[in-house]
Amino acid sequence: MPNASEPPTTSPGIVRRFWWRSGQRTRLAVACAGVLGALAVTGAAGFSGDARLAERGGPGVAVHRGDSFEVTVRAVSGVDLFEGVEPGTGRVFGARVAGVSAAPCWQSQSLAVAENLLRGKKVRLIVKKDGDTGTDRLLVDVELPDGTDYARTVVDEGTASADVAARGELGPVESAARLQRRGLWAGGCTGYRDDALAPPSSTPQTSSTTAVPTTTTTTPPPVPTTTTEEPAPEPPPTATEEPGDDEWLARFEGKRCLLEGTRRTSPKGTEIVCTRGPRGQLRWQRAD
Amino acid sequence: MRTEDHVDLFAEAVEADPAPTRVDGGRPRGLTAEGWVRTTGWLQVGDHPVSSVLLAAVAGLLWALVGAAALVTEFPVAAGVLTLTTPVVSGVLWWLFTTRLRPASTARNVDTCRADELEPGDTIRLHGSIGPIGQVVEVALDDDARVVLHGGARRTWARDDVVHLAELLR
Repeated sequence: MPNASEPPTTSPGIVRRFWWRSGQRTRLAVACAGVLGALAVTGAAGFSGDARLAERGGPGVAVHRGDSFEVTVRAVSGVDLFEGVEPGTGRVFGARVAGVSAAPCWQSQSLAVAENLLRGKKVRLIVKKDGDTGTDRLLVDVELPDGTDYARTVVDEGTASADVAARGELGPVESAARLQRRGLWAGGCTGYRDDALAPPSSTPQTSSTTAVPTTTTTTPPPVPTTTTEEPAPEPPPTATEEPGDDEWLARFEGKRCLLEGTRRTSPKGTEIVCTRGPRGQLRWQRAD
Repeated sequence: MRTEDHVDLFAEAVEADPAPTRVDGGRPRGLTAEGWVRTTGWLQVGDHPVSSVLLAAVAGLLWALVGAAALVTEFPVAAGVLTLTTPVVSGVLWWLFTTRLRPASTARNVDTCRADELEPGDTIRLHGSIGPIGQVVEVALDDDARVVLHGGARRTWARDDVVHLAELLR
């Protein structure tokens, strides 16, 4: 740094004497070392601050509703919680999926499904709410590599329930999953949110609606609309009546499934199972 | 008019202990009551002393660049403002410090000589090659060179020590 000299009569300190008596090269070296040291400290303080933010799962940048960017998912801690790394910057994002609500039961299965869908994949996040940078998980919609919506996928498969407060359009999706007894609605989560969602009146009825009174505690669980002691009346014939076995199989066979070993039975008793194919992808196949 | 002893009674009084002056004859900034002059600057390229204000501004710029690099992703506007303003602020603050708070002169080293070659009227660095400057009033030589400076301060050097002669610029 520049120097303003001090009184010679009041004996200057050893540092000043060294500075004044040193040669110009020495002074330059000392000054450069000082400046470099200051730069290093500043840089370390600034950039380690970013690293700490990243370790907390925060983005370290201001994100706003509607922002969209890709991350590679590195850790999945729940069906609605994960951490991703932005490939370009290495910045870590903690994310919570909007519209998905983890059930208190069925957790291991839902986590397995979420890991299968997300872990190691490059997904696109669409920010739903301005982020509190560096501290909170971002509330996001997630677009899977094939372009499908993650929340819709897991709710449709019955892996998680819908948070209709966040995404109302997932309500009918969950109702359909419940009616078709997929995932946690197949009985693995008895009593969970029985009255949370009323199935839409236009939803096609299935065989599950013909049975069980509400006083029964055995599986299959009661369907929310069935509240009488009497067996439910046969649904009126409509254009959406129960599909035939071939049609039912056509809807599932060869399509992607989420949890290896999961079985599903058609109304006529044909069983399909979620099996890993030759390319390692999980697909529905006939059990036989 | 001269007396019998050839003393010119109307001649201008000759000051026996003149204060250091600038090259242009003015009073130097930073002249203390003790007679020495506070100086600023520590780098000289050839005959040209490098302005300490410029050095302060450069140091501020380097610091600002690193700070801006750390801030730019999160606060890009602040990073830009920091880069532009820090050098100016650093330079201005140092200039204020050396002109108002602790006035100091800019000086230039012009030569060196042995301590036993010093003569009254020489303007010298008191400690090495930079730092405060004093004006030689009297030199007494024995085993050492004993120098009396303007204001009454005394310094002693070995006879063969090298002393920097300097001039005050402003």
